Amino acid sequence: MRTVLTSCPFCGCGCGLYVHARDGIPSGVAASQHHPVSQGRLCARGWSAHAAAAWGPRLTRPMLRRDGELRGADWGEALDTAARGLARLRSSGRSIGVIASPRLTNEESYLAVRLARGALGTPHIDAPLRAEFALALAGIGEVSGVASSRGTLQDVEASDAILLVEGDLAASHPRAASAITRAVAAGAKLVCCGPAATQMSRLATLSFTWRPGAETDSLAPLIAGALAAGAGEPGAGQLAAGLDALRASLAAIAVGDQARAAARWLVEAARPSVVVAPFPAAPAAVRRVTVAVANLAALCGGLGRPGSALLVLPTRSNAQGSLDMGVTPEALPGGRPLDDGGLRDRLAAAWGTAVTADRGVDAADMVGQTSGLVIVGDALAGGVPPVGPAGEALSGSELVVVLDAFASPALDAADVVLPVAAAIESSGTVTGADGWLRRVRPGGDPPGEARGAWWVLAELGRRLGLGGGPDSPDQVLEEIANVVPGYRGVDRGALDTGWGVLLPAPPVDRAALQPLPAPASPSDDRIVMLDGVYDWGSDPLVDHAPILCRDERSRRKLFPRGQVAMAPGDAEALGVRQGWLVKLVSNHGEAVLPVVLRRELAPGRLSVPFAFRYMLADVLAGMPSASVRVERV
Amino acid sequence: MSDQDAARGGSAGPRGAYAIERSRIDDWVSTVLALGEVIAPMAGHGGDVLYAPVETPDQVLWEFDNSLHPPKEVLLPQTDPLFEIRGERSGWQVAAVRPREPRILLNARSCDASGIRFLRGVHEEDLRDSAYLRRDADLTVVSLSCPQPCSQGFCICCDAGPFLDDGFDVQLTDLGEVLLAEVGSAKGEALVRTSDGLFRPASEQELSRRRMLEAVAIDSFGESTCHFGSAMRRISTGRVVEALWDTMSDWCFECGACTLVCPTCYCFSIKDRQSGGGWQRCRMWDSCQYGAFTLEASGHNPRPHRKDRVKRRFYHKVSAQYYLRDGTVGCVGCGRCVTVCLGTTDMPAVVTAIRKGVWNG
Ligand code: SF4
Ligand code: SF4
Repeated sequence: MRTVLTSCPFCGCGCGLYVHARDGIPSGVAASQHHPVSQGRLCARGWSAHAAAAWGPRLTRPMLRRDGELRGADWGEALDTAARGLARLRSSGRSIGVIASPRLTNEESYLAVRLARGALGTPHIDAPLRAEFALALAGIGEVSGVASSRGTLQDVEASDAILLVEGDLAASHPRAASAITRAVAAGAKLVCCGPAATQMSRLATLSFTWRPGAETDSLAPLIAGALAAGAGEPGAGQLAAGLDALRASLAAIAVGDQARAAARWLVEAARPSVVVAPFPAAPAAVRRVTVAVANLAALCGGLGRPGSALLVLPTRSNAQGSLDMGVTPEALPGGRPLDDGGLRDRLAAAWGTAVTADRGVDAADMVGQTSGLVIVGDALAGGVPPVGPAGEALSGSELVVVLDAFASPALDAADVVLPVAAAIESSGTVTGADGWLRRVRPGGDPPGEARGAWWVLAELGRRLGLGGGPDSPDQVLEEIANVVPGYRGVDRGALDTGWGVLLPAPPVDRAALQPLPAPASPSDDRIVMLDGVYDWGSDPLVDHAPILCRDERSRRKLFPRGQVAMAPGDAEALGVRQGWLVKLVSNHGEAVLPVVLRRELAPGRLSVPFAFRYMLADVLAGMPSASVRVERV
Repeated sequence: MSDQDAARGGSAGPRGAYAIERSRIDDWVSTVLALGEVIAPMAGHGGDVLYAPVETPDQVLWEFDNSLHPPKEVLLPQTDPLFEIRGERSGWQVAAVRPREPRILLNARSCDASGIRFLRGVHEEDLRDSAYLRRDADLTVVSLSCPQPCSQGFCICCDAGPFLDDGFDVQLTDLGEVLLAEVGSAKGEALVRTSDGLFRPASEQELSRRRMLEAVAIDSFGESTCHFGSAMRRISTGRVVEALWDTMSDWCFECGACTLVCPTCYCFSIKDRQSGGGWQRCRMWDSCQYGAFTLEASGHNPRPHRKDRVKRRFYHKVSAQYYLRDGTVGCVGCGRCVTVCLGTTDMPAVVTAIRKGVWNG
């Protein structure tokens, strides 16, 4: 038996765990008591981190589509075919996109960027769920001047007042939920904001439910309350820039008793923390919300005070590192602007080719709309872009190259299939939302002929005219440490001797409060919203894990027509009972779903599990919520 | 006395006590290494402790806080291949998967040795689990008594430590210059005897020093205790208000860790894993805290809500019904659930809530 310490491949909490392997096959997990993030506490997903690799439908040899069928090929043939096809598209000026899973290591992400912006000369490089995460960080950056989180879950656990903005933290980031729960048990005040009542809001001292589309209206009274409680007063030692504009934008806001109390806790706390977990909202609203919470954090002294955290939790394990490596159509590695000529020169020198500086399109727009598509890892599973169950959205592309560990619907459209190691079998580093760079170590051997994705990306790069190498993930990290801003000079030795390396966070020096948008006009529209932002049930690491997949699979089986939850009062007014069908009609379209009753839902609010988003596609038209008319069928 | 104890060589209590010089302990481990696979506490990363096969005596830890991961994994691995099904010319062949050689679990803490004994009882009862029991019979358990209680432990409340009277093959106690080795079974006797010249009969002073250390250890438990008695009375006489389970279940995040690391938990699922040209039938760790654990094929779930599952856990571990069957509560007081719980619903916290009738988070 072999045991290695690695990082959990699921959510963005960044838990550490040991993986056991028997005969090279991952066979179990042990918690690490002293790991600074998890401290021995893992969620159900972490405890099954080994399972998908051992039980899933693994790809074990390269395949090429011939006469309409995928057939086995050897590595050289498969890589040559992929490279030739991509080169042909490039030379004929056709568009090529690269979608890279936010679960890839930093090294793999970096090589995916090198492949796109270097070898293929395309700016279309993105990761699913990247846009929402980047927008949330950008909102923070508008206030603090630095688009990044600060602090750690340990800080959160030791805080005395916590503001949580969430979709459903207990489901999306259980370990962060644990940190908050322990803080509450120790006496901290918890204030929750989000679109629906949740397990965390039941533990909260106070909670505020927002109306989709009017998210900041429930945060504005907290900010006004903080100002009323003396935050931002001269002498309070807080930020003054932007204060007047912020005050003016809040002039018409009424502060209720609850908001006043909640604001006072945050202002008076010695160690206030703010945690932002994914919530369903339109992209612009995500940014508005984080601008608002960053204002609040700044006013409460929670920006940059030791022990105070401002954490934006990404949905998937290495979303932070993926963004840092440049897996985004809108920035260079290190989050640098596309016109940073100095960085482009350094990258060009390292890659041996010019670096494309255009703005590319988002992942969702690449699917089916680029002539060539390279899909790296489980990038199309579980969330956006919305690739339907049979992968038909991909059929618009002429050449689809898939690097994956598991058979997936994308194979239906694939022309070249390159089998790679599962996340738990990978080597390299990942970056946590807390700014820690940590090792991932192979908790098993990839089966058959599957190879590390870093190797496949390096080989593709080589065949597309980049220089030789790299020969190992460590060599890639060495290059990252030479060229990627924020990672320069990282002490690679410390990655193995300690728990990881804390990357230097840029100081908050240009902080300025930002005004809030005017309140939305009141409305008693019925609103249907998606519950969650990510479908764990169609995440291959969940779906292929025998213990984890059951809940989701049984829900799908029990609700073959989907479901829409509504408050019992609404159901009664409409004259429907549990299980009856209702028709939801929006400006865009309609859908018919059976009703389930949920007591915690606010009147007028309907919710549909994210997993059933396909059934609501016509109603939502790409947004996470919509005003609807509800009819009994 | 169970069958298995009989197989282990008879008497429930210690059958003899020996002493070995501390300076010779590595020599002894070397002789044990020659007998089979030795699984012992080793240093993991940054202060972590893990039970794993050792190759040399110097890898074995002698002073350590107990490993967060339970050594029950030696007998009940998280993924546990039971047998292989292969297609052969003559038809399907089924072959049991067994450890290749006898195994010795060295330096198991008292609570974990008690857990292994508990699991033996469970697997002997009703339907005998021959795969488990065979593996158990091939394992020699050398426990290491705890002169200093660990920070979260409350073994004292479960009669599972800090020192044991039985339930081990050999119990070691660190007396300073020498280690005392109390033998609890024929297997233990064999382990001490194969090491000619290393062990000598223990002196009366050594035995009385061991008793003194045990008395001091028992006195040092302080606050970290767990009063099962009154909680069990309340559970078994139906005097736990239903609303308490509702409240407490919001403080559980259904990670299942409490049951996965529990030395007395054994819930599993079965699934066949394709391997080569055939299948491996595997038993896998599962948890009664997971929603779909009791989900039936019809879609019906007898424990649909988290509160039903939290309640079930304590009704199993702390009820008179099971106490009478198992002869003990379903807890050895290792305190692991206190450390691993994503929420705050660990054993001592819930037992206190049941006793007092209120939950404080
Ligand atoms: S909380 Fe997130 S990182 Fe931690 S074990 Fe669960 S899924 Fe993994
Ligand atoms: S360890 Fe705690 S949170 Fe996890 S299932 Fe058990 S009681 Fe619930």
